[in-house]
Amino acid sequence: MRVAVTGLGAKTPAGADAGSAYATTLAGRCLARRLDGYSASGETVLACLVPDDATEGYFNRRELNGMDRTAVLGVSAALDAFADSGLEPDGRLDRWAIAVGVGGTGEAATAENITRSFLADGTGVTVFTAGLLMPNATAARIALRLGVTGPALTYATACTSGATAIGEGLRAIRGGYADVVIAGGVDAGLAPLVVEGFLRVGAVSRRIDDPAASSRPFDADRDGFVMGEGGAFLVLERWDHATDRGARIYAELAGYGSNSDAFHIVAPRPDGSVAAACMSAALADAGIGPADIGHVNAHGTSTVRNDDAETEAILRCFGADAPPVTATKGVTGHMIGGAGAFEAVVTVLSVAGGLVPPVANHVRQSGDAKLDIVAGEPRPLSPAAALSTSFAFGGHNAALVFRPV
Amino acid sequence: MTEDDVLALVQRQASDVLGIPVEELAPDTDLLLEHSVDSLELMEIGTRLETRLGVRIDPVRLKDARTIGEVAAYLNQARP
Repeated sequence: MRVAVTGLGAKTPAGADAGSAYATTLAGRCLARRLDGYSASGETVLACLVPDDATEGYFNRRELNGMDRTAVLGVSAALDAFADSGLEPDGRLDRWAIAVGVGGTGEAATAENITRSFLADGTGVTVFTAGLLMPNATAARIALRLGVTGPALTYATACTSGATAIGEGLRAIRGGYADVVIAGGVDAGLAPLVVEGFLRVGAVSRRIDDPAASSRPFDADRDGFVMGEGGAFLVLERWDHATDRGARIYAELAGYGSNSDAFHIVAPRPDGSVAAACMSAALADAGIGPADIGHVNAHGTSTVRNDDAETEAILRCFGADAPPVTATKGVTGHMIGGAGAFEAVVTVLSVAGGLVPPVANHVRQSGDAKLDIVAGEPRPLSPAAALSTSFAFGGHNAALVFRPV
Repeated sequence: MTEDDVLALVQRQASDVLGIPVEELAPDTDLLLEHSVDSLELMEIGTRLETRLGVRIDPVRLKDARTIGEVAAYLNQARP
Protein backbone atom coordinates (compact mmCIF):
# COMPACT_ATOMS: atom_id res chain seq x y z
CA MET A 1 0.00 0.00 0.00
CA ARG A 2 1.41 3.39 -1.01
CA VAL A 3 1.49 6.38 1.32
CA ALA A 4 1.39 9.98 0.13
CA VAL A 5 2.82 13.08 1.79
CA THR A 6 0.12 15.71 1.35
CA GLY A 7 0.92 18.37 3.93
CA LEU A 8 4.00 19.98 5.49
CA GLY A 9 4.44 22.25 8.50
CA ALA A 10 7.48 23.58 10.33
CA LYS A 11 8.21 25.93 13.21
CA THR A 12 11.98 26.07 13.19
CA PRO A 13 14.94 28.40 13.59
CA ALA A 14 15.09 28.43 9.77
CA GLY A 15 11.53 29.59 9.26
CA ALA A 16 7.95 29.46 10.49
CA ASP A 17 6.60 27.44 7.57
CA ALA A 18 7.95 24.53 5.56
CA GLY A 19 8.64 26.52 2.39
CA SER A 20 10.56 29.35 4.01
CA ALA A 21 12.47 26.96 6.27
CA TYR A 22 13.53 24.93 3.23
CA ALA A 23 14.56 28.14 1.45
CA THR A 24 16.74 29.04 4.44
CA THR A 25 18.44 25.65 4.35
CA LEU A 26 19.21 26.24 0.65
CA ALA A 27 21.19 29.34 1.67
CA GLY A 28 23.37 27.06 3.81
CA ARG A 29 24.22 29.53 6.58
CA CYS A 30 24.44 28.52 10.23
CA LEU A 31 21.87 30.32 12.41
CA ALA A 32 23.58 29.83 15.77
CA ARG A 33 23.90 32.71 18.18
CA ARG A 34 25.32 33.24 21.63
CA LEU A 35 23.14 32.87 24.71
CA ASP A 36 23.95 33.73 28.28
CA GLY A 37 22.18 32.29 31.31
CA TYR A 38 21.53 28.90 29.74
CA SER A 39 24.26 26.86 31.35
CA ALA A 40 24.37 26.04 35.04
CA SER A 41 28.06 26.85 35.05
CA GLY A 42 27.53 30.34 33.63
CA GLU A 43 29.31 29.43 30.43
CA THR A 44 28.03 31.17 27.29
CA VAL A 45 26.39 28.65 24.98
CA LEU A 46 25.29 28.57 21.36
CA ALA A 47 21.77 27.93 20.20
CA CYS A 48 19.43 28.20 17.22
CA LEU A 49 16.06 29.57 18.34
CA VAL A 50 12.63 29.80 16.77
CA PRO A 51 11.64 33.48 16.37
CA ASP A 52 9.03 34.63 18.91
CA ASP A 53 6.49 35.64 16.26
CA ALA A 54 6.47 32.16 14.67
CA THR A 55 3.51 31.01 16.73
CA GLU A 56 1.54 34.24 17.12
CA GLY A 57 -2.18 33.84 16.53
CA TYR A 58 -2.41 30.07 16.98
CA PHE A 59 -3.55 30.00 20.61
CA ASN A 60 -5.38 32.37 22.91
CA ARG A 61 -4.08 33.29 26.33
CA ARG A 62 -6.40 30.78 27.96
CA GLU A 63 -5.04 27.88 25.89
CA LEU A 64 -1.48 29.00 26.58
CA ASN A 65 -2.04 28.56 30.36
CA GLY A 66 -1.73 24.83 29.88
CA MET A 67 0.91 24.69 27.14
CA ASP A 68 4.68 24.77 27.27
CA ARG A 69 6.96 25.87 24.45
CA THR A 70 7.23 22.31 23.14
CA ALA A 71 3.46 21.99 22.80
CA VAL A 72 3.15 25.45 21.25
CA LEU A 73 5.78 24.73 18.59
CA GLY A 74 4.54 21.19 17.98
CA VAL A 75 0.83 21.89 17.77
CA SER A 76 1.29 24.97 15.56
CA ALA A 77 3.55 23.02 13.17
CA ALA A 78 1.01 20.20 13.05
CA LEU A 79 -1.84 22.66 12.38
CA ASP A 80 0.20 24.15 9.52
CA ALA A 81 0.76 20.71 8.01
CA PHE A 82 -2.92 19.95 8.36
CA ALA A 83 -3.96 23.24 6.70
CA ASP A 84 -1.42 22.64 3.93
CA SER A 85 -2.98 19.24 3.18
CA GLY A 86 -6.35 20.77 2.35
CA LEU A 87 -8.07 18.15 4.50
CA GLU A 88 -11.16 19.10 6.47
CA PRO A 89 -11.57 17.75 10.00
CA ASP A 90 -14.72 15.77 9.26
CA GLY A 91 -15.77 12.28 8.25
CA ARG A 92 -14.07 9.27 9.77
CA LEU A 93 -11.88 11.04 12.31
CA ASP A 94 -11.54 7.70 14.08
CA ARG A 95 -9.49 6.67 11.03
CA TRP A 96 -7.05 9.55 11.56
CA ALA A 97 -4.07 9.24 13.85
CA ILE A 98 -1.46 11.46 15.45
CA ALA A 99 2.18 10.38 15.78
CA VAL A 100 4.54 12.69 17.68
CA GLY A 101 8.21 12.19 18.39
CA VAL A 102 9.66 13.92 21.44
CA GLY A 103 13.21 13.72 22.66
CA GLY A 104 12.30 14.65 26.22
CA THR A 105 14.34 17.83 26.47
CA GLY A 106 11.17 19.92 26.22
CA GLU A 107 9.51 18.30 29.22
CA ALA A 108 12.80 18.43 31.12
CA ALA A 109 13.10 22.16 30.42
CA THR A 110 9.53 22.78 31.51
CA ALA A 111 10.01 20.77 34.70
CA GLU A 112 13.19 22.71 35.36
CA ASN A 113 11.45 26.06 34.90
CA ILE A 114 8.54 25.10 37.16
CA THR A 115 10.86 23.66 39.80
CA ARG A 116 12.95 26.81 39.82
CA SER A 117 9.97 29.05 40.61
CA PHE A 118 8.59 26.50 43.07
CA LEU A 119 11.81 26.36 45.06
CA ALA A 120 12.26 30.13 44.90
CA ASP A 121 8.89 31.24 46.26
CA GLY A 122 6.42 28.37 46.09
CA THR A 123 4.80 29.64 42.90
CA GLY A 124 4.80 28.10 39.46
CA VAL A 125 3.04 24.86 40.29
CA THR A 126 -0.34 25.54 38.74
CA VAL A 127 -3.11 22.97 38.38
CA PHE A 128 -1.99 22.77 34.76
CA THR A 129 1.39 21.36 35.78
CA ALA A 130 0.49 17.67 35.42
CA GLY A 131 -0.81 18.28 31.92
CA LEU A 132 2.28 20.33 31.06
CA LEU A 133 4.81 17.73 32.11
CA MET A 134 3.38 14.71 30.34
CA PRO A 135 5.42 13.88 27.23
CA ASN A 136 2.22 13.05 25.33
CA ALA A 137 0.85 16.60 25.76
CA THR A 138 1.59 17.66 22.17
CA ALA A 139 -0.07 14.57 20.68
CA ALA A 140 -3.07 15.02 22.95
CA ARG A 141 -3.44 18.69 22.07
CA ILE A 142 -3.27 18.06 18.31
CA ALA A 143 -6.01 15.44 18.69
CA LEU A 144 -8.07 17.84 20.84
CA ARG A 145 -7.71 20.71 18.43
CA LEU A 146 -8.67 18.69 15.34
CA GLY A 147 -11.10 16.28 17.00
CA VAL A 148 -9.09 13.27 15.91
CA THR A 149 -10.35 10.16 17.73
CA GLY A 150 -7.97 7.57 16.30
CA PRO A 151 -4.73 6.78 18.14
CA ALA A 152 -2.67 9.79 19.29
CA LEU A 153 0.70 8.28 20.11
CA THR A 154 4.04 9.61 21.31
CA TYR A 155 7.40 8.09 20.43
CA ALA A 156 10.55 8.74 22.39
CA THR A 157 13.77 7.76 20.64
CA ALA A 158 15.76 10.88 21.56
CA CYS A 159 17.17 12.57 18.45
CA THR A 160 15.48 10.01 16.19
CA SER A 161 11.99 10.57 17.61
CA GLY A 162 10.61 12.66 14.73
CA ALA A 163 11.70 10.11 12.13
CA THR A 164 10.37 7.26 14.27
CA ALA A 165 6.95 8.91 14.46
CA ILE A 166 6.84 9.35 10.67
CA GLY A 167 7.95 5.76 10.08
CA GLU A 168 5.43 4.38 12.54
CA GLY A 169 2.79 6.53 10.84
CA LEU A 170 3.66 4.81 7.57
CA ARG A 171 3.21 1.44 9.26
CA ALA A 172 -0.13 2.49 10.76
CA ILE A 173 -1.49 3.30 7.30
CA ARG A 174 -0.02 0.19 5.68
CA GLY A 175 -1.35 -1.92 8.54
CA GLY A 176 -4.86 -0.62 7.90
CA TYR A 177 -5.13 1.18 11.24
CA ALA A 178 -5.44 4.68 9.78
CA ASP A 179 -6.17 6.57 6.56
CA VAL A 180 -4.46 9.80 7.63
CA VAL A 181 -1.60 10.27 10.07
CA ILE A 182 -0.33 13.66 11.18
CA ALA A 183 3.23 12.69 12.02
CA GLY A 184 6.26 14.64 13.15
CA GLY A 185 8.34 15.68 16.08
CA VAL A 186 9.17 18.53 18.38
CA ASP A 187 11.40 19.66 21.22
CA ALA A 188 12.12 22.94 22.97
CA GLY A 189 14.77 22.10 25.52
CA LEU A 190 16.65 25.33 26.00
CA ALA A 191 17.03 25.38 29.78
CA PRO A 192 20.17 25.49 31.93
CA LEU A 193 20.11 21.93 33.26
CA VAL A 194 19.39 20.39 29.86
CA VAL A 195 22.10 22.44 28.17
CA GLU A 196 24.58 21.71 30.97
CA GLY A 197 23.93 17.99 30.54
CA PHE A 198 24.93 18.15 26.88
CA LEU A 199 27.94 20.35 27.76
CA ARG A 200 29.20 17.75 30.23
CA VAL A 201 28.92 14.95 27.69
CA GLY A 202 31.12 17.06 25.43
CA ALA A 203 28.52 16.87 22.67
CA VAL A 204 28.01 20.57 21.96
CA SER A 205 30.12 23.05 20.05
CA ARG A 206 32.10 25.53 22.13
CA ARG A 207 32.96 27.72 19.16
CA ILE A 208 31.62 30.72 21.09
CA ASP A 209 33.86 33.21 19.32
CA ASP A 210 32.41 32.35 15.91
CA PRO A 211 28.79 31.17 16.14
CA ALA A 212 28.24 31.26 12.37
CA ALA A 213 30.99 28.66 11.95
CA SER A 214 29.94 26.45 14.86
CA SER A 215 27.66 23.81 13.33
CA ARG A 216 29.61 22.13 10.50
CA PRO A 217 28.45 18.57 9.80
CA PHE A 218 31.04 16.18 8.38
CA ASP A 219 33.72 18.89 8.43
CA ALA A 220 37.13 17.98 9.82
CA ASP A 221 37.08 20.96 12.22
CA ARG A 222 33.70 20.23 13.77
CA ASP A 223 33.53 20.19 17.58
CA GLY A 224 29.94 19.36 18.45
CA PHE A 225 26.31 20.13 17.76
CA VAL A 226 24.48 23.39 18.39
CA MET A 227 21.36 23.15 20.49
CA GLY A 228 18.23 23.97 18.54
CA GLU A 229 14.51 23.80 19.05
CA GLY A 230 11.49 23.41 16.83
CA GLY A 231 8.83 21.19 15.43
CA ALA A 232 7.90 19.81 12.03
CA PHE A 233 5.02 17.70 10.80
CA LEU A 234 3.94 15.81 7.70
CA VAL A 235 0.47 14.72 6.74
CA LEU A 236 0.68 11.11 5.61
CA GLU A 237 -2.26 9.74 3.69
CA ARG A 238 -3.28 6.46 2.14
CA TRP A 239 -2.57 6.96 -1.55
CA ASP A 240 -6.11 6.42 -2.83
CA HIS A 241 -7.50 8.56 0.02
CA ALA A 242 -5.32 11.40 -1.28
CA THR A 243 -5.99 10.88 -4.99
CA ASP A 244 -9.75 10.46 -4.46
CA ARG A 245 -9.96 13.97 -3.06
CA GLY A 246 -7.57 15.40 -5.64
CA ALA A 247 -4.93 16.28 -3.07
CA ARG A 248 -1.57 17.72 -4.03
CA ILE A 249 1.01 15.01 -3.33
CA TYR A 250 4.52 16.23 -2.52
CA ALA A 251 6.16 12.82 -2.54
CA GLU A 252 5.65 9.20 -1.59
CA LEU A 253 6.85 7.95 1.78
CA ALA A 254 8.08 4.64 0.43
CA GLY A 255 10.20 3.00 3.09
CA TYR A 256 11.17 2.90 6.75
CA GLY A 257 13.91 1.15 8.67
CA SER A 258 14.26 1.08 12.45
CA ASN A 259 16.79 -0.66 14.70
CA SER A 260 19.05 -0.20 17.72
CA ASP A 261 22.82 -0.07 18.10
CA ALA A 262 22.87 -1.99 21.40
CA PHE A 263 26.30 -0.48 21.95
CA HIS A 264 26.36 2.49 24.36
CA ILE A 265 23.89 4.82 26.05
CA VAL A 266 25.14 7.95 24.26
CA ALA A 267 27.87 6.93 21.78
CA PRO A 268 27.11 5.55 18.33
CA ARG A 269 28.56 2.19 17.27
CA PRO A 270 31.77 3.43 15.62
CA ASP A 271 31.76 1.03 12.67
CA GLY A 272 28.27 2.18 11.64
CA SER A 273 27.26 -1.42 10.93
CA VAL A 274 23.86 -1.34 12.64
CA ALA A 275 23.06 2.11 11.26
CA ALA A 276 23.94 0.79 7.78
CA ALA A 277 21.61 -2.15 8.33
CA CYS A 278 18.88 0.35 9.22
CA MET A 279 19.42 2.22 5.95
CA SER A 280 19.41 -1.05 3.97
CA ALA A 281 16.20 -2.09 5.70
CA ALA A 282 14.53 1.18 4.64
CA LEU A 283 15.65 0.63 1.02
CA ALA A 284 14.36 -2.95 1.08
CA ASP A 285 11.09 -1.74 2.58
CA ALA A 286 10.75 0.67 -0.35
CA GLY A 287 11.60 -2.13 -2.78
CA ILE A 288 14.64 -0.30 -4.17
CA GLY A 289 18.40 -0.69 -4.09
CA PRO A 290 21.26 1.67 -3.13
CA ALA A 291 21.70 2.77 -6.77
CA ASP A 292 18.15 4.14 -6.80
CA ILE A 293 18.90 6.76 -4.13
CA GLY A 294 19.68 10.22 -5.48
CA HIS A 295 20.83 11.80 -2.24
CA VAL A 296 21.04 11.21 1.50
CA ASN A 297 19.76 13.77 4.01
CA ALA A 298 22.05 12.68 6.83
CA HIS A 299 21.60 12.98 10.58
CA GLY A 300 24.92 14.92 10.51
CA THR A 301 24.95 16.43 13.98
CA SER A 302 28.41 17.99 13.67
CA THR A 303 29.63 15.93 16.62
CA VAL A 304 32.93 14.13 16.05
CA ARG A 305 31.50 10.71 16.84
CA ASN A 306 28.17 10.84 15.02
CA ASP A 307 29.57 12.12 11.76
CA ASP A 308 32.42 9.59 11.74
CA ALA A 309 30.07 6.69 12.50
CA GLU A 310 27.52 7.94 9.98
CA THR A 311 30.21 8.23 7.29
CA GLU A 312 31.07 4.58 7.93
CA ALA A 313 27.39 3.64 7.81
CA ILE A 314 26.75 5.42 4.50
CA LEU A 315 29.83 3.82 2.91
CA ARG A 316 28.77 0.39 4.20
CA CYS A 317 25.27 0.76 2.81
CA PHE A 318 26.13 2.38 -0.52
CA GLY A 319 29.75 1.43 -1.17
CA ALA A 320 32.28 3.75 -2.79
CA ASP A 321 29.62 5.18 -5.13
CA ALA A 322 27.56 6.65 -2.31
CA PRO A 323 25.14 9.35 -3.48
CA PRO A 324 25.56 13.04 -2.52
CA VAL A 325 25.05 13.74 1.17
CA THR A 326 23.51 16.79 2.81
CA ALA A 327 22.80 17.64 6.47
CA THR A 328 20.60 20.50 7.59
CA LYS A 329 21.79 20.74 11.21
CA GLY A 330 24.57 22.97 9.92
CA VAL A 331 21.85 25.59 9.43
CA THR A 332 19.27 24.84 12.14
CA GLY A 333 21.28 23.29 14.94
CA HIS A 334 19.89 20.15 16.53
CA MET A 335 16.14 20.27 17.16
CA ILE A 336 16.34 16.91 19.01
CA GLY A 337 12.80 15.46 18.77
CA GLY A 338 12.01 17.85 15.92
CA ALA A 339 15.19 17.09 13.95
CA GLY A 340 14.20 13.93 12.11
CA ALA A 341 10.83 15.41 11.23
CA PHE A 342 12.25 18.67 9.87
CA GLU A 343 14.85 16.77 7.90
CA ALA A 344 12.04 14.67 6.46
CA VAL A 345 10.31 17.92 5.40
CA VAL A 346 13.54 19.12 3.73
CA THR A 347 14.00 15.74 2.05
CA VAL A 348 10.43 15.81 0.72
CA LEU A 349 10.92 19.30 -0.74
CA SER A 350 14.35 18.34 -2.14
CA VAL A 351 12.83 15.30 -3.84
CA ALA A 352 9.85 17.30 -5.10
CA GLY A 353 11.93 20.19 -6.42
CA GLY A 354 15.16 18.44 -7.38
CA LEU A 355 17.33 20.85 -5.37
CA VAL A 356 19.42 19.66 -2.42
CA PRO A 357 20.61 22.16 0.23
CA PRO A 358 24.32 22.48 0.98
CA VAL A 359 25.88 21.58 4.33
CA ALA A 360 26.69 24.81 6.16
CA ASN A 361 30.35 25.44 6.92
CA HIS A 362 31.53 22.27 5.23
CA VAL A 363 35.08 22.67 3.94
CA ARG A 364 36.74 19.25 4.03
CA GLN A 365 36.09 15.83 5.54
CA SER A 366 38.27 14.35 8.23
CA GLY A 367 40.84 11.67 7.46
CA ASP A 368 40.40 9.91 4.15
CA ALA A 369 36.59 9.92 4.21
CA LYS A 370 35.25 9.95 0.67
CA LEU A 371 31.67 11.07 0.86
CA ASP A 372 30.29 13.43 -1.77
CA ILE A 373 29.16 16.19 0.60
CA VAL A 374 26.93 18.89 -0.93
CA ALA A 375 28.73 22.09 0.06
CA GLY A 376 28.78 25.73 -0.91
CA GLU A 377 25.76 25.85 -3.22
CA PRO A 378 22.50 23.89 -3.48
CA ARG A 379 22.88 21.04 -5.92
CA PRO A 380 20.31 20.29 -8.63
CA LEU A 381 19.66 16.57 -8.97
CA SER A 382 17.53 14.63 -11.43
CA PRO A 383 14.38 13.08 -9.95
CA ALA A 384 15.22 10.18 -7.65
CA ALA A 385 14.31 8.75 -4.27
CA ALA A 386 16.13 10.06 -1.21
CA LEU A 387 17.05 8.66 2.18
CA SER A 388 16.69 10.64 5.43
CA THR A 389 18.59 9.20 8.38
CA SER A 390 18.37 9.74 12.13
CA PHE A 391 20.61 8.34 14.86
CA ALA A 392 20.16 9.04 18.54
CA PHE A 393 21.50 8.90 22.05
CA GLY A 394 20.37 5.46 23.15
CA GLY A 395 21.39 3.95 19.82
CA HIS A 396 17.99 4.40 18.17
CA ASN A 397 18.33 4.41 14.39
CA ALA A 398 15.72 5.25 11.77
CA ALA A 399 15.79 5.79 8.03
CA LEU A 400 13.01 7.04 5.75
CA VAL A 401 12.80 6.76 1.96
CA PHE A 402 10.91 9.44 0.01
CA ARG A 403 10.22 9.01 -3.68
CA PRO A 404 9.18 11.67 -6.21
CA VAL A 405 5.64 11.45 -7.56
CA MET B 1 -9.54 43.23 53.23
CA THR B 2 -13.07 44.40 52.51
CA GLU B 3 -15.73 42.39 50.70
CA ASP B 4 -15.18 44.61 47.67
CA ASP B 5 -11.47 43.82 47.80
CA VAL B 6 -12.30 40.11 47.72
CA LEU B 7 -14.61 40.64 44.76
CA ALA B 8 -11.86 42.55 42.94
CA LEU B 9 -9.40 39.74 43.70
CA VAL B 10 -11.76 37.11 42.28
CA GLN B 11 -12.27 39.22 39.16
CA ARG B 12 -8.52 39.65 38.70
CA GLN B 13 -7.67 35.95 39.11
CA ALA B 14 -10.52 34.82 36.87
CA SER B 15 -9.42 37.37 34.29
CA ASP B 16 -5.87 36.09 34.45
CA VAL B 17 -6.77 32.40 34.11
CA LEU B 18 -9.50 32.81 31.49
CA GLY B 19 -7.78 35.53 29.49
CA ILE B 20 -10.85 37.78 29.70
CA PRO B 21 -10.67 41.52 30.55
CA VAL B 22 -11.67 42.33 34.14
CA GLU B 23 -14.40 44.69 32.87
CA GLU B 24 -16.20 41.70 31.33
CA LEU B 25 -16.32 39.84 34.63
CA ALA B 26 -19.21 41.47 36.52
CA PRO B 27 -20.54 40.06 39.82
CA ASP B 28 -23.39 38.35 37.95
CA THR B 29 -21.15 36.86 35.21
CA ASP B 30 -21.80 33.11 35.00
CA LEU B 31 -18.40 31.51 34.47
CA LEU B 32 -19.77 28.24 33.13
CA LEU B 33 -22.54 29.55 30.90
CA GLU B 34 -20.80 32.62 29.59
CA HIS B 35 -17.18 31.50 29.53
CA SER B 36 -17.30 27.67 29.52
CA VAL B 37 -14.92 27.49 32.47
CA ASP B 38 -13.60 23.94 32.76
CA SER B 39 -12.83 22.08 35.97
CA LEU B 40 -9.07 22.62 35.71
CA GLU B 41 -9.48 26.35 35.19
CA LEU B 42 -11.85 26.60 38.14
CA MET B 43 -9.35 24.75 40.32
CA GLU B 44 -6.59 27.08 39.15
CA ILE B 45 -8.68 30.11 40.08
CA GLY B 46 -9.43 28.46 43.46
CA THR B 47 -5.78 27.65 44.12
CA ARG B 48 -4.73 31.22 43.42
CA LEU B 49 -7.43 32.58 45.75
CA GLU B 50 -6.44 30.11 48.49
CA THR B 51 -2.84 31.30 48.31
CA ARG B 52 -3.72 34.97 48.36
CA LEU B 53 -6.44 34.84 51.03
CA GLY B 54 -4.98 32.15 53.27
CA VAL B 55 -8.20 30.16 53.25
CA ARG B 56 -8.85 26.52 52.48
CA ILE B 57 -11.45 26.26 49.73
CA ASP B 58 -13.89 23.36 49.50
CA PRO B 59 -13.79 22.41 45.79
CA VAL B 60 -17.41 21.21 45.86
CA ARG B 61 -18.64 24.50 47.30
CA LEU B 62 -16.52 26.38 44.76
CA LYS B 63 -18.08 24.42 41.88
CA ASP B 64 -21.53 25.34 43.19
CA ALA B 65 -20.64 29.02 42.97
CA ARG B 66 -21.58 29.85 39.38
CA THR B 67 -20.99 33.58 39.25
CA ILE B 68 -18.08 35.81 40.18
CA GLY B 69 -20.25 37.32 42.93
CA GLU B 70 -21.11 33.89 44.37
CA VAL B 71 -17.42 32.93 44.46
CA ALA B 72 -16.62 36.17 46.29
CA ALA B 73 -19.50 35.63 48.74
CA TYR B 74 -18.32 32.10 49.50
CA LEU B 75 -14.79 33.35 50.12
CA ASN B 76 -16.02 36.16 52.39
CA GLN B 77 -17.89 33.63 54.42
CA ALA B 78 -14.99 31.10 54.49
CA ARG B 79 -12.13 33.42 55.42
CA PRO B 80 -11.26 33.92 59.06
